[in-house]
Amino acid sequence: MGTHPLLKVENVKKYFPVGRAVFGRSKQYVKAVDDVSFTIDVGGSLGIVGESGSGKTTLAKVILRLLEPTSGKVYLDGVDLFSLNNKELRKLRPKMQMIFQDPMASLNPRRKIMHIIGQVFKTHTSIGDVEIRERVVDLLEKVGLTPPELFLDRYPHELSGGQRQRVCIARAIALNPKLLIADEPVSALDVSVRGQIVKLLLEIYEKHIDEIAYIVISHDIALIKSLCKDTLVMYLGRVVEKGEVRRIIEEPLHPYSQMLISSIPVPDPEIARNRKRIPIGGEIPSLINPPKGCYFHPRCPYVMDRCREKTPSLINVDDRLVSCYLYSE
Amino acid sequence: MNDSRILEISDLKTYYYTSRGIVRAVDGITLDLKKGESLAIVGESGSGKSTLAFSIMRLLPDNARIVDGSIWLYPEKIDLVRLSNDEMRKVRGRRIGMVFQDPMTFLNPVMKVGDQIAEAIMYHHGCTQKVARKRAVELLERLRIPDASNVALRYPHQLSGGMKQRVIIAIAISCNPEILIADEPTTALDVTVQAEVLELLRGFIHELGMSLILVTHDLGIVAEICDKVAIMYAGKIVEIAETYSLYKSPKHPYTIGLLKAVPTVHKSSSEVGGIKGNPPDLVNPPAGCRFNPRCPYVFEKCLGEEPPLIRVNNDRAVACWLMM
Repeated sequence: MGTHPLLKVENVKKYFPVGRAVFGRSKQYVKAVDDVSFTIDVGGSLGIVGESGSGKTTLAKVILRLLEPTSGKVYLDGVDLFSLNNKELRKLRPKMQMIFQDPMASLNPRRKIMHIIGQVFKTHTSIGDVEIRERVVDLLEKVGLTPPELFLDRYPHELSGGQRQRVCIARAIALNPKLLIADEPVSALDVSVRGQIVKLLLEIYEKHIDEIAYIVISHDIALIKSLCKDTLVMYLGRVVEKGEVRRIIEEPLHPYSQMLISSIPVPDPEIARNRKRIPIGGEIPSLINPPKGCYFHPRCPYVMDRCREKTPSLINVDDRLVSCYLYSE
Repeated sequence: MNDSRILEISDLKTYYYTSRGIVRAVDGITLDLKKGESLAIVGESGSGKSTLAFSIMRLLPDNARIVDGSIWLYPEKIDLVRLSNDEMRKVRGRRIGMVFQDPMTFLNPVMKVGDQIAEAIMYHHGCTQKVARKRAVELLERLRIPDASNVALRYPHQLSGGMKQRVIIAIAISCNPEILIADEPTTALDVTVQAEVLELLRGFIHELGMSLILVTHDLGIVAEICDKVAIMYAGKIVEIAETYSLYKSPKHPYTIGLLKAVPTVHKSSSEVGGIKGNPPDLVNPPAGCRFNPRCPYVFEKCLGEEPPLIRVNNDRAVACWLMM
């Protein structure tokens, strides 16, 4: 539908200095996120797909200001997040939540589920203990941990991986966030449990569609496809393609997207053995000394002289954005 | 037909003895592998698939024991379970090679990778170091590693994940084993690198006529390279079938659920299902069929009696009371 942009990300960069300089600043940087821009409307969902080292998680952490940006701007519902001081930011935290990859690592092992979720209300609201308990029970029901009374007094280690991820989801949606970021929400879970969590995430998204913007980060474009409408494809900190997930899977434009999609194993031998394969070569370059020009050029089967010189900018091609000279005059 | 058999496992049981009790990780597995065939063993974490692989290699931790069953290696029909450690050492590497999941933990961090490959060659062929090193470089070249003679002089930490995994593969195939066991060979790799390593593995198997046992949780990888698939659940094989027919018409409720549990690029999100509940605790597995607490079709018989693995047609066997 798209009424107004809920999240606006403008030219965000995050550089990490590497090496030690004796005096002054070190000269080398890892450009983990390099000039990323996008907007998400109310009710919109965006995937961020990329391999390890593509900067997808760093981008999420910068948007939430869990990491300080090098430059750029992020607006959530009109508020400039990077201009807020710590106190103001803390007030806004309930409105922007993240679900992490490893639920065991993001739950306090020494606290019971009641405390873990209840703490959200204690920190950010002034409601009393009795009501908090009611709210926690509601939330547990909402994420399918039923009967809730059975889970209130348990510790995280007493739950299975899938149940723990449900607790993390309950905590993230406790205060009706406007922005929900799920970072590899199923990759730490058993295969047979993944489907359940995908279903739950979809359910929650659909229930809150009038008020939420939703980001899912994954290396697996199939997961993104089942959860989001649009996606960014990232390679070494830069966006190489942006568009509807379904369309990118059907007809990837950027050579990296083509390679990524043709590399995904398909659990169907007929499709798997008869499809076209993109020849793969070369190594993923290091981010400390990235190649000049397009970062993908050392592995690209269509490389031209231009690609080695200058980085292609994102341009509109048909229904999407692509940064590749194959599509410019 | 039986002449083409290269490995036969019969009623194998491997248990772990822990402080919590006995974990029946592999609990009565029977299967066979033909020459040149590639077999996938698919299961979730804790299904016993890796324990099965490590049992064949006899590389089990101290608290694990093969309590029953045999692993026959053909054509001599020697039982690997009953070999002495010395005799087993001659089988390992030379006749059965293994590729491990995480290359960093299985490579020696303070030894050049070329020497690590050469070491295996020298041990099994008794050749000189010079010859072995030359052969190591040749192997790396065949695995499409650019500038192989230089790479051979590097240490594992200087190589990328994909390169390290190729070194592991080089060690595993250095002595032309008849059987290659690959335990989650690409789980630690990125998808684009994974595709490349799988391609290499597939090429080698065909070229050298090796048999492959691929242990994985990823049904996608299996569809790419295997002829036959065994699905494991809680220490048992629940279904074993030829790859095409397994994907086309899975029979066991667990296999059906597993194929639906993973989103794929060709499926719409409404087709993503999943299986309710969680995998069982192997110290106290459920009575009857081990899948019964999670099965949508459960009936009385499943609770009391364990279904045997029954051949339903030429290329398929299923352990489910629905099939009887």
